Amino acid sequence: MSNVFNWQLGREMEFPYDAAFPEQQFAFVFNLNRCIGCQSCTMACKSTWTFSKGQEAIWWNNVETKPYGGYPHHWDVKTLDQLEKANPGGQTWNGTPQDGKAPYGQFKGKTVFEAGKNTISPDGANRVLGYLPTSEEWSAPNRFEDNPAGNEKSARGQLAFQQGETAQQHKTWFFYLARLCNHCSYPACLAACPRNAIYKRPEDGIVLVDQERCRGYRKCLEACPYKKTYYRGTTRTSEKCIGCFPRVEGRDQQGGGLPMQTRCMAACVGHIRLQGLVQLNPDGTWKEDRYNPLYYLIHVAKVALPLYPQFGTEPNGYYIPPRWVPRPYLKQMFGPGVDAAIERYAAPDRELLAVLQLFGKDSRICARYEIKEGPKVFENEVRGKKFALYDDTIIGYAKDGTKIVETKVEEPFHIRPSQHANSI
Amino acid sequence: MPKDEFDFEDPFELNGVALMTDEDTSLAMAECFTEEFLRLGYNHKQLLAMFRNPHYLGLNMVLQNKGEAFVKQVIGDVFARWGRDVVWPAPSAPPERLNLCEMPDAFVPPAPEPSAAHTCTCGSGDCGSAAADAEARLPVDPFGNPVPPLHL
Repeated sequence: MSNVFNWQLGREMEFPYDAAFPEQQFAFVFNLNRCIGCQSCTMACKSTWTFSKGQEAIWWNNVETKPYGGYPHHWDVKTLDQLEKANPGGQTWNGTPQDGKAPYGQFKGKTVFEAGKNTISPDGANRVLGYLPTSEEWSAPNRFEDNPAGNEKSARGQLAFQQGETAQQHKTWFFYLARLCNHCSYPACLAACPRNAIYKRPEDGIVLVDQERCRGYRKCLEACPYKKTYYRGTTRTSEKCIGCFPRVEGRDQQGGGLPMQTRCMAACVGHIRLQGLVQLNPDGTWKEDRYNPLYYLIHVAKVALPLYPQFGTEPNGYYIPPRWVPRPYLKQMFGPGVDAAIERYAAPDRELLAVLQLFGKDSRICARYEIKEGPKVFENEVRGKKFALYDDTIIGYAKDGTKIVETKVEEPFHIRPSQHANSI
Repeated sequence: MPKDEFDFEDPFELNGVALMTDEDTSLAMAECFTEEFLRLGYNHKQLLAMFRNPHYLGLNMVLQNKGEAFVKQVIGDVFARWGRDVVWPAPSAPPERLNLCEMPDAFVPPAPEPSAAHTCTCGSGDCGSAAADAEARLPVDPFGNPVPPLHL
């Protein structure tokens, strides 16, 4: 085990390999306040990468209904339970926040790596604490969630979900959690692989499985606390999200040579997603890049938080927490930054309001933004805080300086005329 | 840019948090979605149509549990907070069953062609009520404009 620095935990932690960081890191922010669970992202991914035989239970991107849903079933509850048993009552945070190095304070508990070394499996000591989901748990990505129930087969031109609205209602709060591989800085799948078949690309930090080396031992499935690697029976190998790397490299013709966001990001109809590449310091912390939208949301405004940072893999997926959900649940899921993130998001300042407009506006990757100040629309008080709305213009630029987005805070809404309502 | 920082003195228990399933977060959720879609450019009628649509489960749950008056109040309050006045149309008789076709992009079944089997209700036989019936079955969007049928 080596000692590596995990800035999300604000401390060093144990990891089976020495720290090694890419030139840039693939990262994304999801605004859960906007997700309506339409599954467009899921299907965009499925129809691009995992539509073949043997991939029926492989959903690199999925959207689950929290708190009662999950894929594989109960993935997070099971991992949290394992950690609690490994370190009873000790999974806590405190310490002093420090910009960049420890923005959420310090995690005092045990990560999956630290808890794993004390557990023994039939194969010997574990590198990572984890479990192998059963076939049953992989069987259905949204079972018992709230998707409408369809009739067996709809007649041509008829509504497909005649009785969907009568599906049983869960009598509690809920929200949709969209997930894909977090392309972690300290991937548990990589740490656990006995074949060294999993690697992190030096150019963008995307984590890939080398299909030539993989022998299907499924150690990665067992280790990944987010359960985002999958076993394919037809090839007897593991597969996982590839971060749409040809698009991120700028090889999708649609992007005209510019790096593009992944298919799931580009397909999001709710404009909840923003994906990009961030620059790293030699110690793995984020290099200051003030006008990169991801850097701003995560390190300046601090409205976007990592998913289950206490697992210790330093995930590169960040979430703006849904503001109606009880706080203890959110703190468990996103760490101690939740209260401040929601407070800022619910009464957004001028810059945050403008940056939020970048979500979903263009499928090319925005590397830098610029705000042109516009007129004040009105002043008000929102939840006891002074609030002013300015009709600013935000402009997004690609890595090479090409202007890719220009939009206003007061966005115009276009209604398709009735004679073209069904055309694409 | 926000300058305040959160309090790190209280350690947070991050495991074994019980779910407060009986906590009613309807108001906060309705406010949040109203605000998000307002920011995306939706008007109050389009938002109400989303609440009425059973396929938007979170919003529809609020409407079912709290009633339309509550939803209209939330929409009005949020719009006022964002400097927009809301005027609702005069109240009319509520539909017996929520209409799935209330969103402009909803799938709608094509209206059947008037057939010879149609029975004239007035007895004259050529009053045109068959064509009138077919027209009446055409769905309309939330603003009362006819929505053309989908030909799948």
